[in-house]
Amino acid sequence: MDDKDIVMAEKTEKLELPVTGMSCAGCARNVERALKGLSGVGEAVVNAATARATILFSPRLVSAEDLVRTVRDAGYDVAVAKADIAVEGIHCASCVKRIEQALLEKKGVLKAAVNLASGHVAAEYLSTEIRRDEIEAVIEAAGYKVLRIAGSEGEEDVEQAARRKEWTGLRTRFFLGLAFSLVILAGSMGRGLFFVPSFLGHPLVLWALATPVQFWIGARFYRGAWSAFKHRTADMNTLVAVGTSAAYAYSAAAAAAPGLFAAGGMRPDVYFDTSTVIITLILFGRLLEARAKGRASDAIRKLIGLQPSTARVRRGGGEAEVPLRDVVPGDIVLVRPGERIPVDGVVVAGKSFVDESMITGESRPVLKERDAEVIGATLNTSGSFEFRAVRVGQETVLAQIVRLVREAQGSKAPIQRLADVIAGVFVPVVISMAVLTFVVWFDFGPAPSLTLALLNFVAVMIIACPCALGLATPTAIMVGTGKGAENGILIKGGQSLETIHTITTVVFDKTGTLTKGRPEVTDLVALPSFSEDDILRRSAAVERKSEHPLGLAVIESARARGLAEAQASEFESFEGLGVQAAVEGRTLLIGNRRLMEERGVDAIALDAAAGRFAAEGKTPVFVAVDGAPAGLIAIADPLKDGAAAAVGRLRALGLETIMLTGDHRGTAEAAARAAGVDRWIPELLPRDKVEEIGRLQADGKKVAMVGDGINDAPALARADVGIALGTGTDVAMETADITLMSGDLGGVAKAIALSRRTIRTIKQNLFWAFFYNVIGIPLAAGALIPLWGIRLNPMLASAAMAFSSVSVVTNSLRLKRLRLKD
Amino acid sequence: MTAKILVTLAGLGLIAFVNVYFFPRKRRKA
Repeated sequence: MDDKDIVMAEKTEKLELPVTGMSCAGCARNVERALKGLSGVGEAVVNAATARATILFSPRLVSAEDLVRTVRDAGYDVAVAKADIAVEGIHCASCVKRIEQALLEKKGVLKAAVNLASGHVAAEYLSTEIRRDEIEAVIEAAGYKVLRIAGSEGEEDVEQAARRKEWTGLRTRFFLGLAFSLVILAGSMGRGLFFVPSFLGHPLVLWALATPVQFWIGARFYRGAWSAFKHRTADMNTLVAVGTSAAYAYSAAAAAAPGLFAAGGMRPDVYFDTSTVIITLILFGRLLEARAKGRASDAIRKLIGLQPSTARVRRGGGEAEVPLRDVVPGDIVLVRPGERIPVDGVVVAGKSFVDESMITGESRPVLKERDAEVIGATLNTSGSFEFRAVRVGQETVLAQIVRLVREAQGSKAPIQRLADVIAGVFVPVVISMAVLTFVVWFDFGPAPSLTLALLNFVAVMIIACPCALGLATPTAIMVGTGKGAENGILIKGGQSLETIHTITTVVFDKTGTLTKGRPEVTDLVALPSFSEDDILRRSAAVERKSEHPLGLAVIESARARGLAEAQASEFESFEGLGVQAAVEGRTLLIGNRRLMEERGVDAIALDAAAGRFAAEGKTPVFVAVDGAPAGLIAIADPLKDGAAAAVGRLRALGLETIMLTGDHRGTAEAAARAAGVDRWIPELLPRDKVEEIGRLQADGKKVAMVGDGINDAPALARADVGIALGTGTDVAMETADITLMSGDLGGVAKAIALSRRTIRTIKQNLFWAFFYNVIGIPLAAGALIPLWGIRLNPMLASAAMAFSSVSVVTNSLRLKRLRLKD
Repeated sequence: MTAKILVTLAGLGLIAFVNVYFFPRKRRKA
């Protein structure tokens, strides 16, 4: 039997691919041949005129993605549509899996990635097979709400509003739950206290109070449990829904028909306090988590905010201030001193230094003159110029970075929360034990066996529901993040704290991260008959007249050495070469090697030193006095104090350290050697950095990225843990999971130590949360009745609940005593 | 007696179902 027969014998599926790049009938035949050559493909017909490939294939043997790849390998392309859908109600790793599975089961969906942090679903699909609204319908059928947006504009606002609504809803429910719980607690346990009216203790009153908590405030647990059940999993929602429902139903029965219990020889106890307190405490945990989550999309909003909202454009002979979206390629845009550049383009007139640090990370302002490219959102310094708009709207470098950040956030693998993993095992086990209890009591118990079997069955379910479970993770994370803040480590959301201890590789950006990000004078060379101080003092006088960014380093250095200020006159600037001026009666020439040659200065005496500096990644600046070579000033962006030590500590922890930079090889190598990183890769664009991190992750590595610039934002989002420096840009901080406020790289190792301790605390907490419940199960099952006549009662249930909650909170607070070593 | 046997069988069946349902032997590949 060959492939064709196998395919015929199996269930086949038909798929239409929109193939592009076919210009002739021969092309169609090529695509057909390539597709038919694939094992699992029964029939393939390609129509060049309609640009459609119709394929009959066995989905068991070959996937739609394989088909697309085959077409691409054959040298053609498939028009794959992309959708980025904002979804409400994604709150756990199992939601992510659920949505992805539901989508991938649909014909025509090639890829689906759910971003837990931002609540976005990124899908790649074949528009010939499925429409966007059908994809949205699948997500809704899985139990989530799709946030539909008219245009792409205002997208972030709509999302923000929806998240705020979710948060305020959660908060309202929590506080109402808290109020109800306190009243119910007072009613159930406060009998005899002077301020508790006696009617509050009546079971029917408690029932009335517990009902809204169970079905309105706790509705999300039922919804979550149901969607988990449909996907054959059990999570915390299941545990809470099952446990509290058991307590509620048992108590309702006791309140409505106490006689039934009396017949079984039992007191009609009610457990309304158990069900309400559990729901309230777990909502509290959710609230703590929601607070951290809401900030995930801030980064993108900050990025978009970098763009000015209007541009000054030459139109019809005059100047007009137009909204940014009206700027079209070809427009001549005017930029004044201190303004942000609105879109990407090419300079046509004027010149100025532009601060591109927010995009490139390069701290030195860059000279822009005719034919130089300018990037939207960068900051013009002192000059003014005109440029022709080349890329606008979604095409600009900034828009691409926004897209990269969003995609990177979307591709981040969510971690399975520890609590959900445990619940997934715990729930079926508890249900099994409860059923077993029922059977044993029914078969071997005293009369009335049905009543007793039922009561003990429910008792097992009640005691098994660990109310402290909802507190185990959030409290540890809260104390852990607080501890981090004390040490200048701001941790956004709990997930990163749960992830960072698994890191295997730390990737550093260079400029501004490992280095100070500000040029400084690192070396001075003075030829005989000149002094270092004299060269520096006079050079500083000249540089005060110039606007060159390297000049600032010279002025700064002279000031640091406490040298007296001199006055310069007859200042002259040679574009791209250097400057000249008279200082105290002598003529100083400051600039590069070419300037020396052009002005007839014989600088051979300085060449050896200049070569050495260049090899070290430093910029050598030549100084000549009265036409004779005088000395060299080496300027570089030096390594931060403690950077090498921080890298060393990470390596001592067994972590791989890598430096990624957009800088040239020479500069990069010098910095990498000084910092002592294991590997370094120069000349990378923001996109390359993201890809490099993706490659590391594909190799099974867990990557932390440390960076400070906007150009690092996509990489920060893509890494398993993004770490920004507080000295860097807002956007980097918003994108990152962790911010080191002081910019001290020692914080990376501290964050790892903190994460290890926090995870340990969470594990201990989970143990304590389950411990009391697990020992309570035999008690609830009635195992102790034959021995000592002890059975579950509200006092014991409440005590277990209180003990486990107190143990968990106390254990979390122990984290406060943690000392992070420098 | 019949009732006890039925309840026992139903109980064991339920336990088996819960365990098979929540712990599928092979997770379907996404």
